[in-house]
Amino acid sequence: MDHARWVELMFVQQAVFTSAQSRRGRGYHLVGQSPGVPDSLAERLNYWGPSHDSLIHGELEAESISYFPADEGWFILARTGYGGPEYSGRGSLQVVTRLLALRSNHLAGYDCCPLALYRAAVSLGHLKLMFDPMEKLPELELPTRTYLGRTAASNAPLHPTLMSNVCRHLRDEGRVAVLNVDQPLSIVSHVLAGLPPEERYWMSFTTGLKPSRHRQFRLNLAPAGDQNLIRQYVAQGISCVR
Amino acid sequence: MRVEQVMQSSRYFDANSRHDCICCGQASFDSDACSNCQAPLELSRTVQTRGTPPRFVSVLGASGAGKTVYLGFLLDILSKGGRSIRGLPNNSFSVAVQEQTIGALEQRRFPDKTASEADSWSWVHYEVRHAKRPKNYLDIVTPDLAGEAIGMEVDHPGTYKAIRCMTQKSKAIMVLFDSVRVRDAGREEDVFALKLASYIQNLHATPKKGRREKPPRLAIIFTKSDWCPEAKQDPARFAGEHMPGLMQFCKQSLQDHGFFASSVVGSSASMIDRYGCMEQVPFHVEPYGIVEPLEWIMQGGWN
Repeated sequence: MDHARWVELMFVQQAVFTSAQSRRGRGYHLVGQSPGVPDSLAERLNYWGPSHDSLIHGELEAESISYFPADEGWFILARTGYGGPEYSGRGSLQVVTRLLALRSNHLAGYDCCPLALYRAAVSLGHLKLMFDPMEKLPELELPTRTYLGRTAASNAPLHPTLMSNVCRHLRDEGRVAVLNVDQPLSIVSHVLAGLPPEERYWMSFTTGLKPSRHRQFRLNLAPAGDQNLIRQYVAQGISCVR
Repeated sequence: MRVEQVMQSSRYFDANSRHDCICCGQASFDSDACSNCQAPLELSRTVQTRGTPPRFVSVLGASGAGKTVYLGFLLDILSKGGRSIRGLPNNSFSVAVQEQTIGALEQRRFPDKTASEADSWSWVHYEVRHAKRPKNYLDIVTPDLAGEAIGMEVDHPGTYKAIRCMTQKSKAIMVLFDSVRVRDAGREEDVFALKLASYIQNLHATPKKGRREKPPRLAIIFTKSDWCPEAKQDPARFAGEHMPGLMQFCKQSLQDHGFFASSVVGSSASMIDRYGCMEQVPFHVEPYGIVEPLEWIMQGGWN
């Protein structure tokens, strides 16, 4: 029997934000974008983009998955990590962010869960952090829906009191930071699974970016919890739980 | 997009906790930084307590022009005195840039790149006075900002409120250009310089209270001139040869301007570590032309 199934594909836009010397500019900026990214969104992403020292952890393998609703019906899914040496010779590593610019219908097939779409994109080899500034970014082809079943909370054990606190803060005050987290995607998964699908579009999160007024996430997962970081969260009105 | 706004209406009744930001004028209550432009409110409190009107000088420049090193070294020289002008920090956070720059150079490296996020910038407020004429003073009030932010603000005015407000309030502006880049990629630098000069001129061109505001004094500084002797020898001629657009614009619209060359490092080399990271290593410090632009600014007097 022929078990072949046709996979319907959709096209999503992508962009890269990092520090480079390109024909677009110097330093941290949007170094590449696919043709469907409008100027207004590009401007927004240039302001949002994580620049030098934006990751909480300084290790080479540190990375962060972020998601937020942008303007004009766009939703951004981003992966941030360290790339090669920063081009200006000041001895640091460049922070590289690969972004997918999505519409609501792109997420609909993934049960409105950005993490499910992220897993699909990564499994197909997308959202890589290495890039070529001269590379022309095409639109990405992704399956229209997940083939991994409905969104479910991660099987990793999570402290019930912690999760109850997180959900209460998100419900009441809007923004929360969970400190000293070693399984951030599990927490995000659990939070998203507890929401009705139409509310998942608006649950912005980051699993490793420092707090900044340029990027206001509702759910902040931090692999560390030093006093300086806590002070930054509190200064921006973000409640901290651990 | 959903936006959440914290209401502060009840705090209007507590006049003691209200502070108007010296940078953008926004009222803030009981916080460290202005909610509008992220300037430290301590800065505003200090200026308001002093009583004399502020005379702002700010520092601008493209990414990689050397703003952090120049500013840090300038403040270090001013704080030590020994010249015709001397400066002192007005609060503890103002020393951070000086400390970061000198500390890095002592370790034979340049300071880290400045992040683009406005809330991560270090602000400085140094009160600078003439040694023999103490009534001749100015306030170096500027964030140590990222060049990319300046580029974004120039292309999309209003993106970075702190840059816009400080530039608008400044009686004088020091604009830094990497002399090596100007020499080697002059056209690109000239285009950026022209955009920046137009931006500065437009901010000061809006008539206020029935009269045009005088444009700020503009000190155009070619940094890293240890690698570019032609800039060091005759900065004005260097500008004429490599930045004709900026030269022409300044002659027509920003007539109160001067050209300078500066350097901090006597010699340096490039080093590549085992990860392939290239780093410029300063061998020794040999400051040149650091204070002269500020002395020129102060010679002009204030209206």
